Amino acid sequence: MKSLIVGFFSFFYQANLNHENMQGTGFAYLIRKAARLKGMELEVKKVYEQTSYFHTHPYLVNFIVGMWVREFEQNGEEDFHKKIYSSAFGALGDSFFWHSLRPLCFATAAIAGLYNPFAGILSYLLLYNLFHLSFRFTGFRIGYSLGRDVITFFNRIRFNKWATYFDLGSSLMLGILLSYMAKTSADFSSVLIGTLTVYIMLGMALAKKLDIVFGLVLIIITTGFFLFITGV
Amino acid sequence: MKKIIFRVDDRLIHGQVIEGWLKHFKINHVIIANDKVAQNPLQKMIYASTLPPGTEISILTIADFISSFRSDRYKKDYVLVLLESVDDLYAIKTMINDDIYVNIGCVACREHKIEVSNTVFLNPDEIKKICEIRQNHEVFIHKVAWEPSVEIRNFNNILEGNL
Repeated sequence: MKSLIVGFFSFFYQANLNHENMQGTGFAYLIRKAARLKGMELEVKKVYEQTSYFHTHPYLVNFIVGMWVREFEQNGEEDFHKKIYSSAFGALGDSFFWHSLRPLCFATAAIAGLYNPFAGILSYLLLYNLFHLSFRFTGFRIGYSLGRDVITFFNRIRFNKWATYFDLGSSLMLGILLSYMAKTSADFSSVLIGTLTVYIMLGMALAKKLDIVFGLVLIIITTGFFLFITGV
Repeated sequence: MKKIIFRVDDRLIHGQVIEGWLKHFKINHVIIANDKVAQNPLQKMIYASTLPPGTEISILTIADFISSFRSDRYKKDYVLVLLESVDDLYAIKTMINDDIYVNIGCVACREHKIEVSNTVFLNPDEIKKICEIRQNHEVFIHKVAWEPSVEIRNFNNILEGNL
């Protein structure tokens, strides 16, 4: 339950993202909430210290919050490990969520969008949030139980390899999509296939480079609309 | 891009390093040259766990890095050398040559630091050290590979508050 509550509060964690301390303010906010849930009231000075520079992947921050609270309880080196894990989870999270999961979700949505544009959007949101919310809501519990050894959880699930697997999955899905479109096109034309391929590649590029999910959804809708009016 | 990159980044390995440098340039060997990290087994394991499969990592003290680098051990690799601070870069300045791309990537904002870019904050002492390195070699501020790099030709302007 506590992990769910911390997960909920972490939705507000990036509200004060800025160049000076990045997510430091959000981390201080989360730490205060999490410590209270564990029956601790942190001193104002300690909370203030947490507003210093901090930047990690937002979906994995709860693992660090759990680790921090555990280390603080046991008089460990919570701030030292916080710094190490912030960059490590930034690396793991960016590779997987931004650069691999999003393209896979896009390819899945594009295939589902052939059936129905709304099914495309729905499948995107479901697949993406399955991973996003799982990590967000379990992070605090796992971080707290493993403490500074929380990396062992990621090693156990071989998380650094997920990006490679998902990239392969995206390529496969894209191949399926293009083959299907070529095969089912009512009146096959190279212009149609070429245009759709450009749309799909644009979507993949957006999914890989941008942080704006809205942009991706826009491309899916545009692609779905194009498929609809061309009768593919 | 040159085969060897020296990057100052106080977060060492993070998302921009993996996606913006390793994968973009297909770098196959990452070296962290840092005395503290080299002596901490947990920290070494954490950083090793973040790399994509197939990327080799060496975590060395500054002294070990200098001796291994001089032995041409990494001649066949595409190498990214990560340094935690400008002081560490200054410590290995004699190793910099025209085959090496020197890049300041991310130095966090702390007290008494001057904002050089949105990811690089330097104090006057660090700026002076970069000025000294700049006398013989180009130094770029470059966050990720697909964004334009900035070569600051005269850091003294920053010290004088003219930038």
